[in-house]
Amino acid sequence: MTQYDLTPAISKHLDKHLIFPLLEFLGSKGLYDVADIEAAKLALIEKTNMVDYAVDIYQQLNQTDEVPESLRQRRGEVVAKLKSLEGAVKPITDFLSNEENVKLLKQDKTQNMTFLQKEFNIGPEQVDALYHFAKWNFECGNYSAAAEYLYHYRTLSTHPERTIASLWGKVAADVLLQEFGSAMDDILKLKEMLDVDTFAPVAKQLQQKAWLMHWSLFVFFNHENGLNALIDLFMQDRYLTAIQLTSQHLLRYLAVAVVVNKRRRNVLNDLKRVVSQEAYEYSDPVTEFVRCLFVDYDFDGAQEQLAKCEEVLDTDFFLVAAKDAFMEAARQFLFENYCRIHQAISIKSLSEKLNMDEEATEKWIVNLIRNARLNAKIDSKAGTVVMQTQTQSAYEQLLERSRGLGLRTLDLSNAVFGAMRA
Amino acid sequence: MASKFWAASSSDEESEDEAVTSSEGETSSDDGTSSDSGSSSSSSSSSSGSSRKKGASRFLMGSSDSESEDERRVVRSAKDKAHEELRATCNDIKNKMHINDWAAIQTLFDKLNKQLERTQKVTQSLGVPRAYIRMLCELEDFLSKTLADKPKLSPTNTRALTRMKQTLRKHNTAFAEQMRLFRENPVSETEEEGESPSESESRDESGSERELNTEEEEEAKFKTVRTGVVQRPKDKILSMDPKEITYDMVQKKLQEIAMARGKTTRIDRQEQIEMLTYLSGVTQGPVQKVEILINIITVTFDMNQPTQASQEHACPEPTNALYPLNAMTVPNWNRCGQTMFDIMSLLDENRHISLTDTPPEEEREEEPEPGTPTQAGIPFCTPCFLLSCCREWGGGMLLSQVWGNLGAFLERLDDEWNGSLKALDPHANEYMERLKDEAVLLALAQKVSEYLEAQNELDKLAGVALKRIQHFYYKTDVVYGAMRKLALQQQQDSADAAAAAAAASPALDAEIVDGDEAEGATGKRGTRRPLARVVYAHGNDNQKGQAMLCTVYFRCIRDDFYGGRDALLMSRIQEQTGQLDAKMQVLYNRTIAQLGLSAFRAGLINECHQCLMDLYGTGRVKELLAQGIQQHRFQEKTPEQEAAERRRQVPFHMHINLELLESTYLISAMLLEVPAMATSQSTDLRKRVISKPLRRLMDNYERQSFTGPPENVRDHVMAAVRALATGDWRRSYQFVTALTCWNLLPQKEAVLAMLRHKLQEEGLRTYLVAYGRFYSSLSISQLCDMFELPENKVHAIVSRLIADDGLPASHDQPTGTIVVHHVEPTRLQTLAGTFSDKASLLVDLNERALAMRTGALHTDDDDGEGRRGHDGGQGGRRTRVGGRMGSGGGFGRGGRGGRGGRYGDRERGSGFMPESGFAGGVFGRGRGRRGQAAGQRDDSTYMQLGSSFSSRRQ
Repeated sequence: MTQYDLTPAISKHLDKHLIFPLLEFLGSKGLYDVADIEAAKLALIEKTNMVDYAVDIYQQLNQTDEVPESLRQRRGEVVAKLKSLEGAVKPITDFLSNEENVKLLKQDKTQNMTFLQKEFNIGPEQVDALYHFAKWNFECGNYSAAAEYLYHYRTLSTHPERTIASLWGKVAADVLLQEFGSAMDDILKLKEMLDVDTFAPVAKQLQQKAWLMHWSLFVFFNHENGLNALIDLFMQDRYLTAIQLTSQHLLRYLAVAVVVNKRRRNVLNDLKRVVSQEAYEYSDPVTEFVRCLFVDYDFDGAQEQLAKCEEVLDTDFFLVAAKDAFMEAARQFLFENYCRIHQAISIKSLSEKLNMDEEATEKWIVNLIRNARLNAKIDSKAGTVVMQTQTQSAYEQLLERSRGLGLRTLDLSNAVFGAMRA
Repeated sequence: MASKFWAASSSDEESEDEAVTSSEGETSSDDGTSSDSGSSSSSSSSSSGSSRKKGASRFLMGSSDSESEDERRVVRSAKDKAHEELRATCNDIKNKMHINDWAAIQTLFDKLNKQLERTQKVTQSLGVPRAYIRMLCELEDFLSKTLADKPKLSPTNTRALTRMKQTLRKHNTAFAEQMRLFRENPVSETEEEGESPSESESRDESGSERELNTEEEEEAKFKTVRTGVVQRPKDKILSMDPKEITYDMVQKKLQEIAMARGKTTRIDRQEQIEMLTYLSGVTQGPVQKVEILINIITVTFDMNQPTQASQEHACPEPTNALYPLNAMTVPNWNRCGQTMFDIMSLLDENRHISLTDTPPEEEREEEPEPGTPTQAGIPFCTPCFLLSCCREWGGGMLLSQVWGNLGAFLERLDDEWNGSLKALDPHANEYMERLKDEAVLLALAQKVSEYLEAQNELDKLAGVALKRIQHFYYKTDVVYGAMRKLALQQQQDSADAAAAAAAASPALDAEIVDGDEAEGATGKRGTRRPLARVVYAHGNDNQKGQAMLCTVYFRCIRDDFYGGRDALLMSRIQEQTGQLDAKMQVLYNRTIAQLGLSAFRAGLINECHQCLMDLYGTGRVKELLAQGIQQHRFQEKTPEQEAAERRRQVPFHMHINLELLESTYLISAMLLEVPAMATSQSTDLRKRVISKPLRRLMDNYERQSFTGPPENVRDHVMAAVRALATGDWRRSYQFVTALTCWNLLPQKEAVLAMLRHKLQEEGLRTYLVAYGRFYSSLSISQLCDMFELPENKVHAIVSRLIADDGLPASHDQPTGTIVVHHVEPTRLQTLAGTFSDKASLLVDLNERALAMRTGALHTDDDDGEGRRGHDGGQGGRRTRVGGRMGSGGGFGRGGRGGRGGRYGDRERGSGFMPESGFAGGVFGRGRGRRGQAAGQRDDSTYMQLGSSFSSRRQ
């Protein structure tokens, strides 16, 4: 199953800290050797400042109690740096710790700066220090502090690039704190900022879009309205282009989101196209399922892929929660499409296709019919489902087609006469 | 002609002339005439004198007198003639002045001005002859005098006088300065001028000539003196004991030869080369030797200057259609190559020598030689070894800069090689022989690029790298392997004949093998990549583009369609095809053709069709690929165009097989078009034409009253189309496989299997669409038998037809049949449907018109698009991002392709097509319009009443 594991591909676009949850998840699934995962974690953590965590992992990995000298030394450095930064931001943290003071701040940032300078002797250096302090806190794994400081930094900072950077930091911190509501807001803010920034080099824009999409996965699959937002984001021209260019593996998430989200049937056509276009560069059971079902009408193939999908989703950090919904929706898609082109289907073969026993299949179909999702009848003697062909009569078609005409003409004439009168 | 003028003038003038000359510089004149080969009579000296031209070139002329007198006269006559005409007109004006005929003066003055222009053109200088200035002065004087005197004149004359007054005033302002100088000192340059004002008319006239001629006399003397000096050692040096030859002597000889450059006699060159070869044997040091070798190369290049010259000056002899093809002869080419190798080895041994490509600064402006090839900025012929400057930098061994540009030499050598290939009959043995020389060229290129890399001349390195890429990119592995083997073989042969062969030849071959082995070791892919990288890093935009296209081409012939296409799209070169030069466009078209072929081999019919569509849409494939001249019925080409086209031609061994290309295109068009036609026939939908050329062919084919068995590609494909249209894929397959061009494909079996499969599928689709409505049910197993397809495949195809393309049928799973619910609409229903469509079209148009008025078209357009989707236009909403193949959208089936490219907005306008070749812009625009039209037609698409699936599809 490791061939469909996207962790390596995704990790390239993530912050170091954001990879930990993925690794944790992989560890729990037992897809890889536990020692390998722990080693990977250690390698990752050595680049951050989470020294205590590193020590833990080291001890676990090597089954010892001793602390390596390098790490101990490192700990000293980190703490010292933290202390020195703390000193630098003291005035500003003092200021911010008082609720009343925060209320004094206005919308206008330059005005705020002069105000702070005058009243509290807080200059740009302190604000900068706040940024670095937040970053250091983040590196140390102190996410809640980092998130808070970054929030304040954003209200104070006038430096455009740092503002964006702080927003990235905020998103990461929120994700790691599992505060998906605020993370969602920040993601949208970030997106706006990136959209505005059209002067950056194309490569950079592309990279940032790819990052945004990867980071947003954490949010979208955990937020209640996330899938809708995911479709909105990924289906935008620019982002779709970015997917096609740099990170085709995101198509899996897009496909899942579209399949699960029944209300957004209209994006299905776009998905079909993109998936079949990228088939030569990226394919996994999920995209293959989409391709088989919607492009090739290969129901057997789709069935096969669907079985694989179950496993794939099970080992995917983001999709594991959506697995059941996806399976259900996919099955329904399969069935719907199948019914659409058939006039009679034997329940037996249907049960094979749907991977259920005959009894359950019949029940399932009855439910569908009852909910008016399927216009069919069951011929229990022959053991078949007979579809009611819903051919429109010529008369109906004619009506359908000329329905809007009257209204549109009226609108037109109103527009014309309205313009004349005005 | 000078002689004509002299014949016309009186003999006493001539003698006077002589006298004046001798008075000017007696000593030199004596010398000059005596050294002239015996013909020292007055007439001959004056003729040679008069044919002297003025200007700096007098120094050049002097070096060698081996050139024939005739030659010189021909060269200069035009100039002299112009001068004479000018003078004659001056005389006429003076005559008219005497009789106060102002009308005549006026016309003559106009004529004079025209002549002046011509003279300036001929002499290629902006100077104004003194005769002209004097005329102006005299005219002015005379005019003021006449105005003061107020003689009685006829009305016409009076009118002419006033007009003349005005023109002259205006005209003279331009020459005011020169006239002032002239008036101040009318005698400064010509002593006898002093007498002229008081003298008679004839006297005056001859004076004006003399003023031009005296200078020339001087030159003549100068020249002969020079000749005398340089002449002598020439003969000596050949007969001298090589040990006695000093550096200076060789240097002098070299200069002399260098100065003789630009003359156009061939025999002369041959001698020079012999001389230089001899010199290279007796040189005193490597620097000089390199210099001499470089000279050998340049002189050899000069030998076929006419080629270059005629290319330069658009077309002096339009009738000679072959002229761009008379390239360097093989022995000469070989000598050049050999010499290059010598230079390379010399440079290798003597690291202190470096080549610069800026010749020493030249103050004196050269008379532009007719044959100077300035093409591509290669300064081949700039004579650099002039006496003065040469001493400055060539004199000592310490200064080791030598003028020469190896990259340029290489490029020229390559051009000549290509040129000679074009001239040869590709089916003759010589062509093969000549092709073998490519190994030499490549080995040389490798040497040069190594050298340039060592010297860190990166821009030139990029040029050489590009040249090497251009030799590699079109070769498949097989061809490359053959070439390597050949090179090795050559080495072996020369080893066998080592005793007999000249000393240099094995060395040369060894180098070839060295070069090739280095390449072979890393593999061909390995070589091209770094080369391309060099070009990307250091080349200019044009070079980068070429390297890019070559890379794509290379990938394509290796069946890496996706890689090639992505690289091409990444380069975004297709957006600027209009601005590229013809050579690039040809390369681009070739690349696109290969892209299409590779798509075909990969079974990507749609992509293949899109690639080749534009090439075949114009019907000018040969021209677009530069693989032959096509005659057009309605369009005459000027000789210039034809010559330019001839020069663009690609050598035969690089050709893309047109027969293969055409069959590929037509078959892919067939596979797309036949089902589409069946759909439109059965459902009355007026669908877009997918392939115009195919449709045209079909129309022609159907018009024939008797059709014989197929003979050429088109016949075969047409027969296949006919068979496929009835769903008879077996016959269709037979026709397709009967084409011979498949033998050209190394993976013939695979391609044919792919074709068979495609034909089965498309046959099934066509069959179902065309004849489905005559059945009430079809058994799937029967269809499986008919089309030899597995059951699930048939099921999938039928499902797709039902779901996507509106086949009014559904599966009946328990019985394994397809049930058709086709209901023929009654006449009334059909008409009602048509009517409702027309009505909605009317409303649409009205809305559009209103929007146009109110300026809200933009937003409204989007609305319209959305609505179209709901109304059940073919294939749902117009796709936003679009297929990566860009322009495909409008033409892909059911709009699945989409309009834009992979890069969204940025690419939308231009799409993927070659704005093919030379009709770039027009092509693009036409394309746009077509797309639009197609879109509009979509609006009015008449949905058939029976098809109930349009609503479901949304």
